[in-house]
Amino acid sequence: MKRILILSALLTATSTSAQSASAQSWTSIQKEAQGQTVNFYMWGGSDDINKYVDTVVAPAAKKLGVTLRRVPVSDTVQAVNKVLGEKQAGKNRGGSVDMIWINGENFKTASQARLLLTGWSESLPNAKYVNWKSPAVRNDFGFPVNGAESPWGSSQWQYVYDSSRVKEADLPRSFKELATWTGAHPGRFTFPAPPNFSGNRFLRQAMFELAGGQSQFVGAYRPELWARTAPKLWTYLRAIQPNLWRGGQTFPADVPNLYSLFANGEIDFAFVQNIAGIAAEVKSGVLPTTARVFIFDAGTVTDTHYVAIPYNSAHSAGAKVVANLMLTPELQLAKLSGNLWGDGLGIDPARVGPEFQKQVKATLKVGPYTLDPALLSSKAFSDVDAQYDKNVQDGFKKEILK
Amino acid sequence: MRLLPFLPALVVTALLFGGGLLLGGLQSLGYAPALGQTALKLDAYRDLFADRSFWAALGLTAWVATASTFLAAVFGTAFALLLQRAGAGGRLRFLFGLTLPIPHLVASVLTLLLISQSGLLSRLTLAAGITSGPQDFPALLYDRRGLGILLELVWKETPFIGLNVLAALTRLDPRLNEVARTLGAGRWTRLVRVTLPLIRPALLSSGILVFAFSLSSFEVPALLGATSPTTLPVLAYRAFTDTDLSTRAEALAISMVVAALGGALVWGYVRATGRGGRG
Repeated sequence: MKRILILSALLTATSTSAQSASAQSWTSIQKEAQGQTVNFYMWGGSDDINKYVDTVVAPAAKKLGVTLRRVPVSDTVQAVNKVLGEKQAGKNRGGSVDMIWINGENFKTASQARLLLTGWSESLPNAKYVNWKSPAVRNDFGFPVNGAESPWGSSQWQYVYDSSRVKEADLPRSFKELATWTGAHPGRFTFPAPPNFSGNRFLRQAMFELAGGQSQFVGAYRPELWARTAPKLWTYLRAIQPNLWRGGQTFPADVPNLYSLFANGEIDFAFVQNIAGIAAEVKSGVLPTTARVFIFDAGTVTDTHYVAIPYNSAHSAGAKVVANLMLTPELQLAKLSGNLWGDGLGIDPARVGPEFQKQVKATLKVGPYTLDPALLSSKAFSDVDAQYDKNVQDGFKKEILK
Repeated sequence: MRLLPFLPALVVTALLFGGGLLLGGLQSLGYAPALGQTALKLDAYRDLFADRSFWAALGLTAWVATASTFLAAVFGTAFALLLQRAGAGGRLRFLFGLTLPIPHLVASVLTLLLISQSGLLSRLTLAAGITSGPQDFPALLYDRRGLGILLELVWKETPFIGLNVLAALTRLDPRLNEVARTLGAGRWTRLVRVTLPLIRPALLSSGILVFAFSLSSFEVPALLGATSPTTLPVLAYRAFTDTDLSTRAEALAISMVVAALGGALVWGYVRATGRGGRG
């Protein structure tokens, strides 16, 4: 009799614990996170983004008992390299990197080298706001996310010009027109040299147009498509190269360099990827008040960017708490505002509610610095398999930088 | 026995530098257990030596190191001689050495702010009506011959060599020059036949340091150099930070080449000065 009692007690115990497993474990994650310091490795090239993390995310994390320490890197690959170095040294626990701002090729490499914690992001409480059914979220540059990344935000490529120097009617609206424009205005255009993220993305969009559209690149990598397109891309670049800034003999290293060339009047165009356009950049004085945004007629690339947790993170509980915090509607809204960063949402407003949808609309102030989100989303296409990215980088080195 | 007092220093050097060199060497041979590669092969070196950008980088690195050392040695010696002739006291020497504690990173950014095509000087020439825009100002930075890199290195290293030479000049017995003069040697002859041979050790040792530093300098060419050709350390960094993790072997191979160049140089110096066997 006694034995049966114990057995049934055990049974009920296990069944209740199984039922509340996810809720329970989140409570225990929160408990474990108390007092932890999360080392967040992120590209530090934008003062606006740094400010958002320092003044919005970090104080909110502090309230949850987690200290967020921002570690700036000039390229995300440095963070990936650090984790890889630790793995090589056999440091499989207590690693120094707790969270990485990541997407695309870096995510693919980190995943392939098994450097990331998997299967955690979809069970975060705030994951309910994320449209995990959307392929644009489920896949990162065509590579399955597999619960190893939690979305932070979204972006869309836009071009920046200075209305005091270039008339709106004269703007190039395609890569073909851009070539004509650079021919007429030698030395007034450039882009960051690959492997810079923006430089790569610029060239990939040229590749889309030269190949006759982005749609054929969707899906798995196709070597024959690359073989057909690559020569067109290099021919195009060689044609415009002499008309680029400094005769195409050298390129800026990163977007901040591009912005300073633009603001100093050395070049006439720059790029931005914020959904709120250049509102934050103009507000902080990085770009002049006469700067404006526009897009090409065929559309531009949109994507999701994420945070990931290294497999050996010493404070993975704290990192999960921060990743979850980043998805709260309140913080997402603050991030969308052009007062700070202007980054697109990582969550789906419809999943939060009609009130939030209204707030989103009110936060995005369409105007000289911010394009209509309806226009942006109607002219958006996703980025493609990371192999194309790699090929563009390698090809640029071999074919253009001689 | 004579080595005993140096033992702690030797152990640290052997462990830190030797260990790092050994690990770097292993990784340049493709040793990366975290990626499941434990076989040692020479692929990285083969790829490297077949890559034209490597030879271009080697050429630029050698040019930048040689030219900056030569110019810093000439200017440094000239300044040292001037300071000594003027009988300059501590204050002037202090001013002369003022650039020494400035980190190269800061000096590079200063160079950038000062002489880029939209830098401070360009703005001054614009305000003075000499130029009508950034495009008129000479493109001294990011150029393929490494002019910007040279400028920064020479500016930073001239006082380093200069102060070393000045120290040697101060120790010089003034009677040597006087004797030479009484024997009818002119100013130029005295400089070439008396002074220069006597300050040669100081010039050589500080020159070697400047050369070795310029050879492996990363931040200066990274900030002031062209995208291509670049120097070996920048090339190594790019390979090391490639998203393709297999190029790390190549990055380490480049670093080993730089280390070998520096090592060969010091070895040659030790041989030439005859300090090899006599401790």
